[in-house]
Amino acid sequence: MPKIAIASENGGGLDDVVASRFARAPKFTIVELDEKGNIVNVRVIDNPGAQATGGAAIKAIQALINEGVDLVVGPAFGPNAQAVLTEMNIKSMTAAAGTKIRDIVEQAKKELGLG
Amino acid sequence: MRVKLAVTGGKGGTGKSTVATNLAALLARERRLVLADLDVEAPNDHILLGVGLENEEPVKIMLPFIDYKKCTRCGVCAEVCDTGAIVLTRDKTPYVVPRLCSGCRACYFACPEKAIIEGQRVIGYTYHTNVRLKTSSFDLVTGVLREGEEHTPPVVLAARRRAMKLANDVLLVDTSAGTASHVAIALEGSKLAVAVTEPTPLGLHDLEMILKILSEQGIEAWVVVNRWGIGSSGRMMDRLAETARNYGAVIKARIPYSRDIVDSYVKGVPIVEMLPDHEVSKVFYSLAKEILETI
Ligand SMILES: Nc1ncnc2c1ncn2[C@@H]1O[C@H](COP(=O)(O)OP(=O)(O)O)[C@@H](O)[C@H]1O
Ligand code: SF4
Ligand code: SF4
Ligand SMILES: [Mg+2]
Repeated sequence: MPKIAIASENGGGLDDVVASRFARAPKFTIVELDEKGNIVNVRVIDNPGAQATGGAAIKAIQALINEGVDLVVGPAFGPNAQAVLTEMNIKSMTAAAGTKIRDIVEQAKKELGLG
Repeated sequence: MRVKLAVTGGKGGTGKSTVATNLAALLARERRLVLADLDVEAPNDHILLGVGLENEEPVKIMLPFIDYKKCTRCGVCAEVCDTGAIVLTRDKTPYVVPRLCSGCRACYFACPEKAIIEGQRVIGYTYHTNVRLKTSSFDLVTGVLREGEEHTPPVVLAARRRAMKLANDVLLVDTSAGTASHVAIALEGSKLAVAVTEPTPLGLHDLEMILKILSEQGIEAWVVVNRWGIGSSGRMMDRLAETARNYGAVIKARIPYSRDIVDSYVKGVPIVEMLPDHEVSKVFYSLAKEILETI
């Protein structure tokens, strides 16, 4: 089942908004969809990059790799982050900071070719 | 090397290289001198001196390669890597991100299967150019960090080493802006540092930062206030002097804002050579004289 991770500004969840920075976002909202694009599960995980002294983006991505996500959403991705995402076969999508996460899920479905 | 001097200071564009190249031109009249441009992210002493970068040598650091036949996917290498340069896939297959790797070898030593092979990666270059001016000549060593690279210290160290090998009298280093660890590496062992600043609130702030580093390292600091001009206030000068005093430093010179400095930059000739009678040149003469008396 497709999984999306959205860098979240506050406590995460569908009513939170996209964080202003990917690597330092406090939380990731993990949204699981079924093959039709319906939301089947929403969870929130901590971003280990938020408190990291160095390599924050990579630490964040490592957590998302472990979650097995297919698509990562953030305001922007640096060259290191982009390189690792590509290498790990994870799609990425940018969305303006402050966008409602509920609205992002709709766009993400298109990005994944669902619904 | 008998004595090491440094030119350092606030943000980029403050005038460090202008001061360093003019002092180099003057000091080289009296002493055998090596100028080291350790602002490896944006070296420009060669531009101010109108010379090219010659005698290239690569700066290499270790880059791990994984022997996937031996690797048991234990994940230890990623755990010990400080820079986050090793990412594990879901089945814990390690993958190295070269740009992030500092070449520390921690993964190499930690791998229980000896599955990590030592490779190398070029992160920058050092150069050595002979500079011949009308009234003096000296050696210029330049460090250049490769585009897109983030690990500055090894390049600063390599350029410093190359310059020290050449210098048997005076070594003058031009550092990069700010107070990062590689600036401290560039400054290390200096007898005297010229801290260049501007008569602005930002300049005041930057001056305080660099004077702190210098006093921590026990390096004598001389402050040079650059770009003095219309709008510069006596009050700002007082505040700069007060900050200097707090760190046991003194303001040694004030360089006016001058179009001729920009012109000398464009022409690639230090102003002390291009316009020896210019008021700015006179500031450099007295500064160089005082330095020679001190060392
Ligand atoms: N006193 C001054 N008056 C006018 N222009 C100046 C003065 N000092 C430096 N500049 C100009 O500012 C730019 C940056 O100077 P530079 O010495 O390269 O700074 P830094 O090495 O601190 O980055 C150059 O174009 C230089 O000609
Ligand atoms: S430490 Fe060695 S064996 Fe373990 S995952 Fe890394 S390379 Fe493989
Ligand atoms: S050499 Fe050091 S920085 Fe590079 S991957 Fe190994 S542990 Fe990480
Ligand atoms: Mg410079």
